[in-house]
Amino acid sequence: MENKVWTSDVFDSVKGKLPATPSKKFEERLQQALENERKITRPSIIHMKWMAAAACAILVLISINFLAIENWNTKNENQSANTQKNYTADILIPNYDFLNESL
Amino acid sequence: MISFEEIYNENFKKVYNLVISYVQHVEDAEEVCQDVFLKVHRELNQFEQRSKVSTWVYRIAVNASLDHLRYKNRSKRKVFFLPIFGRQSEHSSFEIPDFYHPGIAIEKQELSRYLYGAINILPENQKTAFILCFVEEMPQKQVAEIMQLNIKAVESLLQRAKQSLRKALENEYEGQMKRKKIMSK
Repeated sequence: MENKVWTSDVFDSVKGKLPATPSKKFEERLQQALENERKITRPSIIHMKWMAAAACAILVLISINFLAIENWNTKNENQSANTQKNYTADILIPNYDFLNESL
Repeated sequence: MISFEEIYNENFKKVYNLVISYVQHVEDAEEVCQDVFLKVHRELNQFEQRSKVSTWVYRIAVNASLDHLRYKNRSKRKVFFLPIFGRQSEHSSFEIPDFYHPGIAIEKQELSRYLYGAINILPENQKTAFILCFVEEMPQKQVAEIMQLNIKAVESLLQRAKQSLRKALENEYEGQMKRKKIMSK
């Protein structure tokens, strides 16, 4: 019986308690923590934006570079093919006398 | 859109009291409370207003408190000599904390320590239901919203928590009586 009474007293001990309040320094510390968070996050967001912009610019430059190289390669191939054609047309004369070396 | 200052002013006392019931340490409670409001500040833009702001804030507080307890228990387990030199007596089924709630009347403080000690042996969901409903005297509907359960489930958790606590406290009382008898001999 005593056991039950004691147990119910323990249960009742938290009833009607007053709300506890944090210390005065709590608010100051929270303000400071919020301030620190702002300081940390703001530059990092700006940083991230700049990083993203820089990455985009690099990608654009690389793609332009590739296009330019490809363009240059195809142009070169075309040109060399043309010169080859001209060369063979000039040199391959059908009745060339190799012994006399004159036409 | 509600501002951070409004949320803080409306809820900081309740959040602090909720956290202190979990962590049972004044300085730790302030630290956890700070983490709660930093998280609220960080995630306020992402809050979708599916529930009340206070419910959302209390949910963050409950999770932060449970995280703190998990971390504390983990570091406690690492202390090898604790079971030998710990405060847990051979008759107690739980450890009685050195915690005196600042809002409890002095004559009830000694008794309340037993309840806070017994709360620590409850599983997390029973502990949450008991602290919110019984210690913080929140309505069951709000508790159900915070715990994202239905009212029936909260009722059953509360019932089971009370049963476990009653059993632990009765054991503790019997242990105390045995000790007294031994001392008187």
